[in-house]
Amino acid sequence: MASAEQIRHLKLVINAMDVTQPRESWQAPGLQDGVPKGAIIELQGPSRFEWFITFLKENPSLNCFWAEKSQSVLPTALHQRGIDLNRITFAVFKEKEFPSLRKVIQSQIFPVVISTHHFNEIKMLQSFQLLTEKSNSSFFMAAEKPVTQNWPVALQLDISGKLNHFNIEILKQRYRKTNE
Amino acid sequence: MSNSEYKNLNVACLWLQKPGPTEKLAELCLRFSPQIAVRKNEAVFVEIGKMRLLYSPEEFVKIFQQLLNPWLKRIEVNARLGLGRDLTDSLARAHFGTANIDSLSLDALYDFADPFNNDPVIRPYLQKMITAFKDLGVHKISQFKNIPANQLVSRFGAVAMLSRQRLEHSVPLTWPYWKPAEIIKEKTDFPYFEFYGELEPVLFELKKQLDQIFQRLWIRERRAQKMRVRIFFETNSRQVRPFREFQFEFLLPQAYTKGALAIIKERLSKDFTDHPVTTPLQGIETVVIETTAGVSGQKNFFHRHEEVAEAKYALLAQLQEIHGDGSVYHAELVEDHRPEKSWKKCSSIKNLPPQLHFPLRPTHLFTPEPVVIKNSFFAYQGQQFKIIRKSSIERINGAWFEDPSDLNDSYDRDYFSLELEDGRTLFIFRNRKGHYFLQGAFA
Repeated sequence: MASAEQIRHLKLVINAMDVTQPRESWQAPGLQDGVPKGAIIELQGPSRFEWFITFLKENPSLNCFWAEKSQSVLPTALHQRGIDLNRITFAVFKEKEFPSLRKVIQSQIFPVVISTHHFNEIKMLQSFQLLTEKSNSSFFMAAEKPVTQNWPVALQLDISGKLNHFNIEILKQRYRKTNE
Repeated sequence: MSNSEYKNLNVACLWLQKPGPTEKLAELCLRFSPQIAVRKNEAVFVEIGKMRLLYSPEEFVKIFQQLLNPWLKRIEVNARLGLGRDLTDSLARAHFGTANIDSLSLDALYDFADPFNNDPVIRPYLQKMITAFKDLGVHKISQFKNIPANQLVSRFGAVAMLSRQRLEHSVPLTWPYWKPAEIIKEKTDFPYFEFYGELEPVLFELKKQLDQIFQRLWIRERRAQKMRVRIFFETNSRQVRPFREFQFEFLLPQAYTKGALAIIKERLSKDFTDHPVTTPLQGIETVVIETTAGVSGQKNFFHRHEEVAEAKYALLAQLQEIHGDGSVYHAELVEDHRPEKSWKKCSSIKNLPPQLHFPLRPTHLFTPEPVVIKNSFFAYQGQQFKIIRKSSIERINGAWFEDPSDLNDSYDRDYFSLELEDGRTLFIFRNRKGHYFLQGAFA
C-alpha cells in the first residue's frame, strides 16, 4: 500500500515537471511545439482529420501516405482545403495492415504516414516507434478508438472545433520543439 | 511463271488481311533472307532476288506457304503473297491480289507513295491528289500513267511525280533496316534437384538473374516495364503443369534489382503459400518482355529524385501485390457535382484538376444510409442527437435519363450539413422523395 502511495505521489511530481525532451518538429496548427519528427502521434476527437489536413496544408513539402481499412476519405475535400493531391498516396488495407505500414515507414519515402487502423498491441506500437525514429518520419494514428497502452505514443491530441478554429487538448506530450 | 519473268521478281510481300504480329512473322522469314522489312501489323517484305540459285520460283512459294500457313492458321489470320520487282510492286500485288497493276484503282497509289504507312505528311497530299483525279474522271492506274509527267508536276507537285516514279520503278526505294527484337533472358537449371519448394533458394537465384538482366538493360539505356518469371518443376501425378508463370507489369519501369526483386518476392511468397510446391525445382527463367527508354550515364550527384521515385513505385507495387490491384492509388478529380463521383483512382495524376464550383465537401464519405430528421433532432441507428445548426442547401439536378429513385446514380439531391450537439458535423442529402440519407462527415 505504501508503495502504491509512493507511485501515485511520484506520478504527480512527474506530471508537474517539464519532462519533455527537445526534438525536431514540423509546424502544426494550434501547437506551439509543433509535431515531433520520428515519433508516433495519436489523434482523437471529432475534428482530428480536419486538423490533420490543415497540418498538411501548412507543410506543403511533405508527402503523405494515407492508409484506411475501407475507403472513406474524400480526395475532393482535401483538394478543396488546399492540398495538392499529388502529395498524397492513398491505400486501403483490409488486412495485414501492420506489416504493410511497417514497410511504408521503413522505406523512408513518406515523411508523414496516417492510419485509421486501430493498433493496441504494445509490440506493434514499439515497432512503429523504432521505425519512425530511424526513418525520422511521423506516424499519425487516427482510429475511432484510442490506444490503451500508449507509452510509445509521443504526442496525444484531442481535437474538436471547426476548420481554422480548433480546440486542441494535449493529453500527452513527450517532446518539445528544439531551440536550434 | 517463266524464269525470265522470275528474274525480275526481287521482293516477296506477305499481306495480312487483318492486323497481326508482323514482327514474329518477320522472324520466321529470316530463314529465307536476312533482308526483311516490316509494315507494322500489316505486311512483311522479303528480299528474294539473291536466292534464285537456291530456290526456283515454285519451290520458294511452296516452302514459304508450308512454313507460314500453319502458323497463320493458328493465329487465325489470312494472308496473301505477292511477288514483285521491288517493295511497292510486291505490296500492290499482295494487297490487292492481282498481278495487273494497271487495272488497280487510284487508291493503290497510297502503297506506292508511302509503302510503310509511316509518313503522316504525305498522306493528306495524296488524298487531295487522288480526289482531284477522280473528279476529273481518272480512276485507274493505267489512266494515271498516261498523263504526261510535266502536267502532273505542274498541277500536283512532288507527290504526283513521286507516285509516277514509283509506278515506273525509276526511283529506288531505300530498304529500311529491320532486326529482330532482342530478348533479354536468363535461365538457370538445377540438374541435381537440390530445391524442394522453398522460396529462399528461388529468390537467391532470381537475384543473380536480375543482376545480370539489369546490367544488360543499363548498358542498353533501357528499363524493364514488363517481366516474366517461370519456375520449372519436375512433373508427376500431383504436379501436372511443368512450370508456373508469373507476369509482372511495373507501375514505374525498374532499373535496379532491389525494387524488382521485392515485387517478385511478394507474388512468389503468396503463390507458394497458397499452392505449396511438392516436387523438386528444375529451373528458373526470367525474361524481359517490354522495356522503355532509361537514363544513361552517371547518377546525378545533386539529388536522388529518380532513385526515390523508383523506390516509391517499387514499394507501391509491392503493396499492390499484397493487397490486390487498386488498393494503393492516387486520386484525380473529376468534374461532377456528386461527391462520390467527383474523383477517381489513378496510378499517377496526369491532368490539371478541374475548377470546382461547389461548397466544401466532407472529409469522409460513406455509402448513403437512411436517417430521420424531425423537429431539430437527428435519428440514426436507434440513437437521437440534437441539431445545433443546419447549413444552407446545395441542390444538384440530374440528367433526364437518370432514375431519381436509383440511389447509386441519382443526381437529384439537396445537400446540407448538420452540426450536432456532440460536436460532429454530418453531411446529409434529401432525395426527390423527401427521404434523408447520411453520406459523409466533416471529421
